[in-house]
Amino acid sequence: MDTLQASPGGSTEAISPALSPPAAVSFTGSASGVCLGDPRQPASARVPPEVLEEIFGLLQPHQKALHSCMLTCRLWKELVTPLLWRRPQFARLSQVIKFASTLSATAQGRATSHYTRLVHSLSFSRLAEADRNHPKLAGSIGTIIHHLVAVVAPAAGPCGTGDGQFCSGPLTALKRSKSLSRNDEESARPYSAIEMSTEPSATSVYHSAAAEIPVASDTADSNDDSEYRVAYTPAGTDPLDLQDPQWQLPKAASGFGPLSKSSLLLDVSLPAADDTHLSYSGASTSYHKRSMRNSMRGPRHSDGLSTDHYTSSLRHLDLCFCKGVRNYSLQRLAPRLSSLTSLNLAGGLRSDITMAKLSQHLTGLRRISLAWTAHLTDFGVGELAQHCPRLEVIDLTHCTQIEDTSLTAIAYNLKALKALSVAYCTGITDIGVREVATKCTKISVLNVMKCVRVSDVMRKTLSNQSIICECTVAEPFSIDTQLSR
Amino acid sequence: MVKLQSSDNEEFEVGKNVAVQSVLIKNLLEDLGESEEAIPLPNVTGKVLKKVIEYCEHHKDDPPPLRDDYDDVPKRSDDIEPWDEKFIKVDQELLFEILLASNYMDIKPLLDLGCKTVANMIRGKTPDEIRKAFNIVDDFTPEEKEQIRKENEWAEDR
Repeated sequence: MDTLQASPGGSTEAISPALSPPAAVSFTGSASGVCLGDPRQPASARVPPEVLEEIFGLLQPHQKALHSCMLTCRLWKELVTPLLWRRPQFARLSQVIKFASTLSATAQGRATSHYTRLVHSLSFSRLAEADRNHPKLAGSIGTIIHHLVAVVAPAAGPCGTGDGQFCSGPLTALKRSKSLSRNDEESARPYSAIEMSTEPSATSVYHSAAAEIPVASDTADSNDDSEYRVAYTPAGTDPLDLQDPQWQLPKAASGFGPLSKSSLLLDVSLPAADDTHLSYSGASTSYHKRSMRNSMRGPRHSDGLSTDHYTSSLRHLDLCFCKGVRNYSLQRLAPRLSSLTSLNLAGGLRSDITMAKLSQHLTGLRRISLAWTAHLTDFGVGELAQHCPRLEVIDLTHCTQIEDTSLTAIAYNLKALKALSVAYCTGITDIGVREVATKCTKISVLNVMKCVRVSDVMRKTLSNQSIICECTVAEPFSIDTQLSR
Repeated sequence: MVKLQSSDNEEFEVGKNVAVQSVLIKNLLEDLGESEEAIPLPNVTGKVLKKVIEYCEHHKDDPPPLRDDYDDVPKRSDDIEPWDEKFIKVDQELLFEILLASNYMDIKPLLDLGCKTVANMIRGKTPDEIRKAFNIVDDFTPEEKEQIRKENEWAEDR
């Protein structure tokens, strides 16, 4: 807190006149209230609300200033509140945590907070790197999203976690950390069997699979914790010890354990999984199978496989380089993110599975960035293209694994596409680029910078079609600004 | 030429291309046609009108502003041009008078300039300092203020 809280009048009174312009001092005595339009009032007190709104709008990037305005008087507070909450900015993790707890505190009982409807955009990319990678970030973001999203269909029970209290108890956390013996990045995440059933029989059936599935536990609610112990303890071994070496390849970032291929064949719930990506689709199938069985057992654990059960004013989510939000946390949130039109997942170590899951729910998405996603393959992009037909801007810069198959999927599915970046994607060739350039008729930017296998002839062809093929350093490709140019 | 009359009966004669930057005057001229009669501006004093005209004179050859895309990109307040910055460096009462006049006369670029200047004035001030600068009376109860403070604590940069 600052000095203001201590005394509304006293000490600050002495400081202010020195700081404020001399003209203002002479008027302070006459002001007996905000009386707009009275010519006897000083001009500063006659500024109409619509002009004040204009002024506050300019202060949106300066959150601290808006915050100060909010504490001046009732009129200003009314005008500033929607602006401050529309696009909250966070520089520190502590702010995110406070924001989450404010939403929890202002939501009386089951009703949502009166601030909920105001939040339009959430960006966590301005946090310091340590905060972006902090495991607590996922928990707070989970809480925030749960509060921002209202359930439309009352029958579905996913609001079982709606109290937003995701933080696991210290005991469980300790238990979890003890079970982790590896120090490589994958094992550094805590474990939890989030979707475990409450039925003992089912638990025993699934416990092995659960133990093999390392996930970010940050979004696990208290119920999950108890179930976790039941599920995990019988296994008695470090889940990673069970892992086949092939699953420890860096591209298995989603962290799913081994599953026999025969079991995969039983359930092919994901389309378009070609043979080369069997490992991916396998992992994803296991997830889906689990979810489906859980949902069949009862609505309490339904993971929102059915869509459009949620509504929210949230449109933009920026998780750029937020590695603290693990893929599993994101997958769990997927059904609640269905209102998003813009999503930035650049540099977040996202997996194909996560993209497959997100795509199914985020069908209204118009802009997405997956830049610097080394694990992303044609499968993930294919899922995206298939489920999100309204995409207009896609950033796949430095997604080094993607090839022409991705571009073909984009070309055939995304008729609204206006801008695409595949810069530094060395797997891209003329074939894919031509597909996009001919099929996506609205495209105006197709950034193929440093795509070594795209020929100069192709670049020339693009230029002739008035398609920008290399974004400059001065105007880099960005999903936030690309459409407004 | 167009004649403008301030609230204190000062008359100004300006070129039409200067005057029509005010949408209010532009509409008046379109509706009533041009005449020898001075257009009265009862909400604007001579001192303020003189400044407003100075601004419009300087900007009479500006290209029409780009249409606002109403995109979700926040506007900035730190992109004021040097001439404008010098022009708007006036005492605070006059600044607000210009702001009110540009709103009344509907001169968008001048209104923007005034808003940006005021926004920049607000930045870095405590609520008490803002209240002083804007002649605002604190009408919160202590409990109210404490609640607002608590619910928006996340926004406090620290």
